[in-house]
Amino acid sequence: MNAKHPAVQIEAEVWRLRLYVAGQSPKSLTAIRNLRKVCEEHLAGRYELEVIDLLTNPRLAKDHQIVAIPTLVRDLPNPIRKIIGDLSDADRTLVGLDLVAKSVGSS
Amino acid sequence: MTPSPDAATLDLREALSKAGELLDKIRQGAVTVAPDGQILFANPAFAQLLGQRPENLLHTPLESWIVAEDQARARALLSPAAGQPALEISLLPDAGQRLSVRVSVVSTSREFTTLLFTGTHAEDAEAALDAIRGGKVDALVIDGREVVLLETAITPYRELMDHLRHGVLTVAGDGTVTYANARFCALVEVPRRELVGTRVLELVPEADRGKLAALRASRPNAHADVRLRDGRGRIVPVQVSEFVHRGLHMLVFTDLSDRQRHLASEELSRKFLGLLATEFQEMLGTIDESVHELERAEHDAPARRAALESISQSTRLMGALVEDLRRINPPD
Repeated sequence: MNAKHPAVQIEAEVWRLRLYVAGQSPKSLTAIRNLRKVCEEHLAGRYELEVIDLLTNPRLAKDHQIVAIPTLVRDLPNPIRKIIGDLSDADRTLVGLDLVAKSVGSS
Repeated sequence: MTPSPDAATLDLREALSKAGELLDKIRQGAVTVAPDGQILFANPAFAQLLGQRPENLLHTPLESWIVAEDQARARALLSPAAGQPALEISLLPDAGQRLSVRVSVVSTSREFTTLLFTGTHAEDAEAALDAIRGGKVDALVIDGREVVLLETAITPYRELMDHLRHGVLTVAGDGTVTYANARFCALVEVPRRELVGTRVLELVPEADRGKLAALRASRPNAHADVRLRDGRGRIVPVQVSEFVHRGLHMLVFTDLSDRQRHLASEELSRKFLGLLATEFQEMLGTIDESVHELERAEHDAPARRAALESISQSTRLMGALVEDLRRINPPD
């Protein structure tokens, strides 16, 4: 588990994640790789991941009001969470997904 | 002293007015609601979230602007016992598209509660800016319907384009040039920095603009012959095709002046070969005639000599022509 952040008790429910990508752009591929790593380490067997290619169907961006790519959306559990970027900052991804609690004093 | 109902009303209006002036100046949407949930004040930013004018929202139930599944949570936020200072809900503007917002209680009293709404799209925009500055994204969604790749995402494509023998432009949906490969820059003798940002229609003479616009509006992979105007005002005939691949619009230009030069050269070769065929035909005719002469004049020595001389001369001529041909078109 992350050394800087205390772990959050994750309920035994399925996490529904959507990753919006732009074809095989370098950042999209990096985001897919980073997200799979996070999911396997923290949500193994308890997540559904849908990768949505907005180059193929840009209108799907409206579903979650996507403005930049890649963007990860946590549909479930509530509330919806959104992380913009290639997820290369693992700590920020974990905090953004509520997989670890925010440290005291962190922004 | 207990204030009269009128005075209380005036005080409330005054308070709302002053609060309204302050709230108008902030970016977030602000709403003041009565205990029964009726909207007493809405600032322009909140009205804008809903695509309304502020006065249209007055005395309407706040719940009527919230999606059904979030109404109970929003009601709980207004309750004096609410322990939750903020929550995320979705508004339902007239346009029908759900709008995610973060709502928090600013102040609460017996008479009214003021709520602050922050559209998560505003937060997304700031997060997107941070991500762009940090180099963590490589594409943007424009107006929710067009994906624009940033430089980092298309560098590999551009390197590939620069190795092509055809002139290639990448253009946005409206025809604005976003990249020109080296061959295209050479074709029109204009540097890339001057081509990027111009409209592709500006690169063709007015007479050909309709043809190019029609091509762009037609089915993918169609092609048309148009003319480009180069940096020195000269006309370059080209064949242009548009390809749309995964959101990327590419116009491919084939230089027809090359093809026309090639066609002209082929025409010259064809005429030359035609002349050669006529020459050979005449010489073969002479040889054939001489052979007949030899057959007829078996014992006539002068006639035989003349026929043999004629054959020999035609053979020398044909040999010289063949030698010329070999010199012009040497075997590999």
